[in-house]
Amino acid sequence: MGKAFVVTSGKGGVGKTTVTANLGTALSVLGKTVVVIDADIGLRNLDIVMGLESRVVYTSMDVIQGNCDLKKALVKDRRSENLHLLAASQKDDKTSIQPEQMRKICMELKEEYDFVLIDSPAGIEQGFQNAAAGADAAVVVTTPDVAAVRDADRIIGLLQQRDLNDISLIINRLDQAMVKRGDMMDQEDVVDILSVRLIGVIPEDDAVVVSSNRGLPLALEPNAMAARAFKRVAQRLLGEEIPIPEFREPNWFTGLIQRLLNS
Amino acid sequence: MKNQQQPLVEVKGYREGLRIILRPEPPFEDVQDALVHQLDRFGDAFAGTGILLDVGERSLSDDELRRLQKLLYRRYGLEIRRVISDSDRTRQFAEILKLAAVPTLHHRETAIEASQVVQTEIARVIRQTVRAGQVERFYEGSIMVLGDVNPGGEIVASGDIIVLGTLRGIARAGCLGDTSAIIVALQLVPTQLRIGSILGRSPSTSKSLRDRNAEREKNTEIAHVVDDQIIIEEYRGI
Ligand SMILES: Nc1ncnc2c1ncn2[C@@H]1O[C@H](COP(=O)(O)OP(=O)(O)OP(=O)(O)O)[C@@H](O)[C@H]1O
Ligand SMILES: [Mg+2]
Repeated sequence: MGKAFVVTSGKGGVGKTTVTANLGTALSVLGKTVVVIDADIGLRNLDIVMGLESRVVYTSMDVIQGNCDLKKALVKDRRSENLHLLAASQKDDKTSIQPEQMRKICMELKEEYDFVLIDSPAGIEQGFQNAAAGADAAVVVTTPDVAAVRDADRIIGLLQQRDLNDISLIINRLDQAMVKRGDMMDQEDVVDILSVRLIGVIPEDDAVVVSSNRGLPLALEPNAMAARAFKRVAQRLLGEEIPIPEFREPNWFTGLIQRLLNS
Repeated sequence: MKNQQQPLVEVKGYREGLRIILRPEPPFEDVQDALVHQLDRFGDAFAGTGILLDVGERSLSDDELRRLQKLLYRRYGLEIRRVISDSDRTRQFAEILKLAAVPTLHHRETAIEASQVVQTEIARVIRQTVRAGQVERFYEGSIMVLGDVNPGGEIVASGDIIVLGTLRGIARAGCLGDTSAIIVALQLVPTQLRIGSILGRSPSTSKSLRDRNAEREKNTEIAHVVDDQIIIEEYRGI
């Protein structure tokens, strides 16, 4: 029996879709079977970020309406055998799905897959309620700024109210240089407030935007900083003990070794 | 004559709400004026609070009840949760307005447990962090939080507020007017404090992140009222 995670944030644009695509990819690379579900009905984009748009034939709405069975609606990833996508309908909206229906889909998928990752829409209304309905655990994504952290806190409160207490935190788009200058919250500031388990810090990295536009989640590219960070998140989800702080200042020696290894 | 010693209107704390008691004999207009006079002292400090409207033997017309409901909601943000009345008609009107209504006798049974304990001797203990968007109220004593109060979270108590964690959100102690109430937190970096009707704002809003980091190591602090001002200082026992 697999485990379903809702990837959520409260505030929009902090990286839920990016995390879902890359974490799904990283987990599949580590040999796990994964389904990613786009629960952002009406505003789908998980298929685009994963480069699967042209292969989507059926959506979760078709499954719910009985137009096709669940197996048939899953789209296989281009590069990974173990990774599948359940796309969202673009012509419907968040109110056209019921929490009970999402729960049923998740239950069915968990029978066959190790991980089900649900990309939630922004906000705390029905779209979020639907996305969370079938989840056993939550991955809360935030960026290190006051507004995003406030909304993440709100979401954590709502998750706990529905007895979803298995909550992990990912801090996305951390900019070391800004933290150093004292212009950005560091991970300690964020964890101090949210007080949930931190499972990863993803750096601000242009490669993320480039890879999203190309439809190739960068989790497969070993050289991007963010890719390595996603891999470590996946390993932590699988129970490996990998210490956070994520980044250490490369001194000249580790810098040299890094360059030698990369060359 | 006896009635004149008693106020026309009494406002008391009741669990997480207020209990408003209207004397039965005086004319409605007088009672309404007295209510406005009482509540104006609090401003909008109670917005969102539930009300137990205790009219006892008074019989309210549906128009009077409607007016009270509107007044409480529009002017103070107070919502009537329950009407206590001995008049069948008043209870019927209440139910038409979708308000729960019970007779005094029936109500006493449920009220006893709350009034058995002396006000200052009870506290509500909240065993979790109070997060953004959450409000915890207790109008019959103190609140103790075993966790943090985060920015956007709020604690309102008629007694003291004790936070065994970091208080970053809003805290209102002595909310029924008791300025001897105190606020204690392991780390006191609130957005806003209020004791009685006295307001204190966080001086740290303009501080840089670096300064706030320095505050992480601070000692337990207490906020209390001295000469009509909220003073924050290191806590060394009362
Ligand atoms: N670590 C990062 N470094 C740089 N850019 C990033 C990073 N993470 C996300 N982005 C960019 O930020 C934008 C928003 O990301 P994304 O779409 O994943 O957010 P979202 O939370 O899913 O948004 P929405 O709430 O609209 O669904 C995208 O353009 C993405 O490429
Ligand atoms: Mg998204």
